[in-house]
Amino acid sequence: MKGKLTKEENLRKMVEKVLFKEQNLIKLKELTRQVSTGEIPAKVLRETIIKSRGVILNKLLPIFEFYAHQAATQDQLSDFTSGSNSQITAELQEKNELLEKVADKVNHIYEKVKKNLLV
Amino acid sequence: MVQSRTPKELSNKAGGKKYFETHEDKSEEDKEYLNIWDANPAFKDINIKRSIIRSLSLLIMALTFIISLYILTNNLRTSVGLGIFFIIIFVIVFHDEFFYLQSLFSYFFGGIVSFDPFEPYEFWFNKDDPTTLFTYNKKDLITVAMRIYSIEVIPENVNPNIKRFVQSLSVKDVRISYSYQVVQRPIINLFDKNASQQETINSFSSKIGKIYFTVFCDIKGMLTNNKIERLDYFIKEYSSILKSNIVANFHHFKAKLLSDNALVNALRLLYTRVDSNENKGKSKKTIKSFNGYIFFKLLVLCFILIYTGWFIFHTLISNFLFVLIIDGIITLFMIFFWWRSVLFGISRRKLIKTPETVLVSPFKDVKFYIIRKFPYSLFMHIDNRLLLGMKMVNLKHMYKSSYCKFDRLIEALNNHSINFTYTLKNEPLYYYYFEKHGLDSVHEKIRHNILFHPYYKIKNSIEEEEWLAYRKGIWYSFLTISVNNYEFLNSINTSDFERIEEVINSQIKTLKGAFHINFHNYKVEDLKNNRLLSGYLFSVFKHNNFRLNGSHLHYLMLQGATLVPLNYIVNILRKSVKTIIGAEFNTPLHLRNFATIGYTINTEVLEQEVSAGFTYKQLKNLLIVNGTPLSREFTLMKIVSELIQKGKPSLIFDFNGKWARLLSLFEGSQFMKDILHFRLGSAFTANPLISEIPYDKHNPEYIEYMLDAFALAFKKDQRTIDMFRNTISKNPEMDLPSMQLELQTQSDWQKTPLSYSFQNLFSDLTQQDRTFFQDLQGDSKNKILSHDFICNDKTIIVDLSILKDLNKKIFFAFLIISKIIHYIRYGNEYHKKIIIIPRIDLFFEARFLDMRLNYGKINSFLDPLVEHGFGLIFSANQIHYLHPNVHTYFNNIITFRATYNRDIAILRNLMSLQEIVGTGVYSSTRNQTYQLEYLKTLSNNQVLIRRDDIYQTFPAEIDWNNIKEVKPYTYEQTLEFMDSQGYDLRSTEKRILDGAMQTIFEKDLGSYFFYIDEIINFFKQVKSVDKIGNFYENKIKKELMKWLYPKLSKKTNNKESAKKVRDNIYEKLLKHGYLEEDHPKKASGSESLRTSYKVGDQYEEALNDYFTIKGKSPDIQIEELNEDIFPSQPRKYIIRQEDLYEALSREFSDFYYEMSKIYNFINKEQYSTAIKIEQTIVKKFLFNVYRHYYNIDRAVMPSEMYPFLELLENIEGFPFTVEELKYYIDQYQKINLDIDDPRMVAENAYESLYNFFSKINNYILKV
Repeated sequence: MKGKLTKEENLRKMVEKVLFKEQNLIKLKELTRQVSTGEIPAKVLRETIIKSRGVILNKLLPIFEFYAHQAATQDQLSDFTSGSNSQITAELQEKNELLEKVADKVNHIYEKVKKNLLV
Repeated sequence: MVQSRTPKELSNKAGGKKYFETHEDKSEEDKEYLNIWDANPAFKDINIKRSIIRSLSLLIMALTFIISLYILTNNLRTSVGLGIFFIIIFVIVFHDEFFYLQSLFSYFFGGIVSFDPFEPYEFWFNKDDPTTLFTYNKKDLITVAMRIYSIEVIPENVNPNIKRFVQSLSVKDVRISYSYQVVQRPIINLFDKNASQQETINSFSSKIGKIYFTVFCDIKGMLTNNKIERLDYFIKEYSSILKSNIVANFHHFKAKLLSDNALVNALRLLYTRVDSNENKGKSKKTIKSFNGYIFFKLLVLCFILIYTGWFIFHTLISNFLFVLIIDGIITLFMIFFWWRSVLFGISRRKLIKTPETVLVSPFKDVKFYIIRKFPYSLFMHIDNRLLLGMKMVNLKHMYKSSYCKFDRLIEALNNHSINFTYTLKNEPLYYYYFEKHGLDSVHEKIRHNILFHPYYKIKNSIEEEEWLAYRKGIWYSFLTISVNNYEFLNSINTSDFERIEEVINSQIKTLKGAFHINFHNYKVEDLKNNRLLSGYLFSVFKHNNFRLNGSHLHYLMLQGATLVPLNYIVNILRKSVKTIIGAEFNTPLHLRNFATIGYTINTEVLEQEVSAGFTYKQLKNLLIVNGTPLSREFTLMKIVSELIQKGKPSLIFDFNGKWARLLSLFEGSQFMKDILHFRLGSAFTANPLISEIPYDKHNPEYIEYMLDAFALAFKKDQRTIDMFRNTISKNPEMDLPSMQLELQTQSDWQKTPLSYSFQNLFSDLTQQDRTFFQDLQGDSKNKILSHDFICNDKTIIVDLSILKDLNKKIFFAFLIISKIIHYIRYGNEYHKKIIIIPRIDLFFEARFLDMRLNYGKINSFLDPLVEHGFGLIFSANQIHYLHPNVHTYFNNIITFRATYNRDIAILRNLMSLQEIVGTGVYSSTRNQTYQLEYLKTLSNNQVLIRRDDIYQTFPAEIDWNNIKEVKPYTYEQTLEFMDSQGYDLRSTEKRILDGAMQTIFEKDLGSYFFYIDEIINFFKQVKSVDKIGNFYENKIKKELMKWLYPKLSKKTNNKESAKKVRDNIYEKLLKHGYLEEDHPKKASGSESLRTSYKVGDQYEEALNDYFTIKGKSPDIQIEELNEDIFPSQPRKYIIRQEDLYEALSREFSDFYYEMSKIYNFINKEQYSTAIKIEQTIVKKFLFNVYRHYYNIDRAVMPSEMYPFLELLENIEGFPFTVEELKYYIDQYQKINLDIDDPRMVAENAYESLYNFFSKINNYILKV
């Protein structure tokens, strides 16, 4: 598999998809033609353009909200999975060291018990 | 025109009282009313009075001398002896004054004598009137002025009315002498330097006929201004009378008044030469005095005077004064009767001093020979090249009941291939002369009646005239007929003369035989020696007044009615003279013209009449048809040149590049600034897909015009044009070459018959032609646009000659017209010009328009132009090709020669060429106008014109000589001229050529140049990795496809077809060295065996060339341009097959968007809406991925999904198992919307879906 998309690229793709939605553009083009041939007044075209801008805005807003939400969640997860939190790491380090000490002690006790049992 | 009638018919008509022989013998007289004498009175042309005086004077001189000597010497023998000696000396010294002794001396010195019969003659014109030739006999002091009419054209269907012609010239107060001459000779034109030798050889046996009518008048004595003026006055009057008579009686004959060289050639008679200018203006210093044997003559004269004076003084009266008076009288007598030439010195000065006089020497290069052995022959050696011998007979007698068949004589001569001259000189007589010289010969009865009969007696001058008129006058007539033969010989000897003599001897016998067969009761006499020479001079001068003492030829007194058959222009002459159909046209004299283009032709006399032309209004709808392309073009140029001079602008479509003549024509004139010349491909181009109006909202309307122009010019059927239209409407941004490429790249199975037809549209246009369709780069202000042609008040020549085929030229013309129509339709400013388009029949072709059942196209093109005040002058090669609907636009028509029946049929109706209904032209029987025949035989610049203000069509001649002769501007001159007009066409041309220049990419990639941007991007990508190695064929192809695909996907849905295009491009890149083989070294130092590729040097070179020519910067952000933001069709499910990652990532954005909507709806507490999306979101996502992956565009059955889910599961790193995927698909579909707590359901589902989303997201995106 070749190089993956970045989340930014993915976002750009989605935004483009909304901004330049094919059907809308075709419709705008058709309207432009109709205006040029005098079939409809230019006012209709202007209204349509403004409306489409509104629709685009309405579509883009949830994407950005979700993107922000998803990005935050993803960051947390990433932080978690990548272990970049230093406090946790320190605690973990301490606990590991403690566990090593405990383990040494347990091992020492075990060795003694084993010897005593054999004797 | 009536045929000549028999005498019987005439006599029947005559109801006069008496002009027949007797009242008693009327029935007999009716038949033979002209038999007034048994033998016509015959005479010899000798000045009798003068001869008698001279004879007597010689006798008196001799007797006086003898008597005086006898008185002095008293010795009779000595006196008589000396007297005879004196006479002999006198005769010898003055031998040139004796007709029969002129050549006497010559004969003494040899058998062959060279002489110059024209030595005593001088010929000259007046500078301002080359139609009158003057001849002056230096010896006899006779000046003759002559004018000659040559019958240039004989009508095929009309005979001349010779009877009336003869009668008219004999009536009182007119009565002029004239001569009629027919010459039939070989086409010898060796002296014309323009005539090729081959032409001369090929015309060797051809004969040409010349028919001359000559009028002349003479005056005797020394030359004075007054005499020349009188001659000039009379000759003009006579020629005017003769011309009027010819016009009146020779309908449809063309009688041309000869002038200058033609007139001189009429004298030369037996051959023609083109005189150079030097030859014409003979130096006046060469005029020699004609005082032959001056010393001896002076000696004789002195002797006579001294002897007479001495004798009188010593014998009779010793008075010195008396002696002087007597000597003076003798001197005057001698000068006037024996030595007139001594007076020429005075006339010579006159000739030299008059500046208007232009001397000519018609016989400068001719040597004349007479040979003692052949007294009946005259030989001429012309220009030391042509030896010509002639014999001649002279009509001597005519007896009762004579009749002649002149045409049969000519037929016989033609049959024997004999060259001949027939010269008839006629002089009408007053009754007085008849009475004096002819009455005695008249039958006794008639003479008695005329003189004494109480009722028939001629009592007064009125009755004399009546008597004459009834017989069409009484005439003195000279007739000579000669035969001649020739050989081309540079040097001559006796045997040459003998050879020719043999031939002409046989010919004269044939002539006489034929003459006697066809001229009953006529008697001719062979001419010899000086009389033969006289006969030759008679035929040259066409009159007998060249000698004071007479020509010594025989002549007869004839009645006019008898003269008629001798004077007839017989039908057989049509074989050697140009003939035409005598057509009847009422050529109008009342033409009002705004622009004149030539002259009307009066077909009665075949002469120019009044100026022919049109009003401006008529010029705005003028159709010129048939004839040759050149003749139509010259006519158009003539019209335009007139319009320019009248300040009316035109727009001319020049198909042949010949209109630069107009620039030459007006060079240096004030009109030059009113002309502009633009050449297609040099000054302008025309993009057929745009109207050239900036921001044109109505371009589609223009496109319709363009399509019509395309269809009509290239004769394309409606379906093809519809397809063209659709293609244009679907691809408004495309240019013609792109459309062609699109067709070429279609797979075979995609092509329909229409595709081929559509593709053929472009096959009509060559690569070069298509450069004329390109949009010229640069600011519109610097471009010549089509509507610019009508935006100024100048005459504009649009030169389309660079195109080879006519249909392309006509297409371009109408492409421009379409743009103009579109331009004027939307209220833009313009100048109303006259639009001139040739070959309109190619465009509005009748058969094609009828086949399409759409003649309305004609209206759609012409109506807007007419409505907006434009004028139309169209020309068509053959009118029958032109659709009849076009005819309705043109009320004014010019047609050249038409021969094809369909053309004639159409022109007949259009121009009202018709036969006369009811009364005939000259008689009730002649009701054929032959207008159609005339149309068929029009030549060169002759036309028929139909004007809307004149009922009848009339013939005319276009005067295009000045246009024809002028040398057209060269292209360089035109560019310079346009530069002076403020148009830098050189730079425009450069821009066009640059635009048309092919890049290396274009040459190498051919039609795949369409993908050039993708290919450049591909190389950009490849260049960064190609040196590393492992860049194998498959890899390259895969990468290439990646770049090509976005654009390619618009062209084809078919994977195979796309691959084919990719492979073809790959092959071309390889072939032309854009990709080169490479075997990079491995770490071990060895080269890899498998062929890898790297970018070749050709790529860099081609890239630089591309950017240089196209003026693009290599740093251009091609990637941005590559984005397919306006796909023409939705191709949602069409991506590269079996590329799972691509399928997932492409579909993931939709999934992302859907998720965002769920998230948003939940946030907005619209749970039901959120749930609805949640129910299908996963299913939709996976099913769409399936469609992508298998490149299908249909509904997918759930059963088909299982193997696909297994496939997904088996992919490395894919985060779900089959069971999990099934769970996600099915689980949420089961959610019931009628639940109590949709929030919880929606949020739970969201949590679960978000988990799915995150895993996919992590799989697809870089985290």
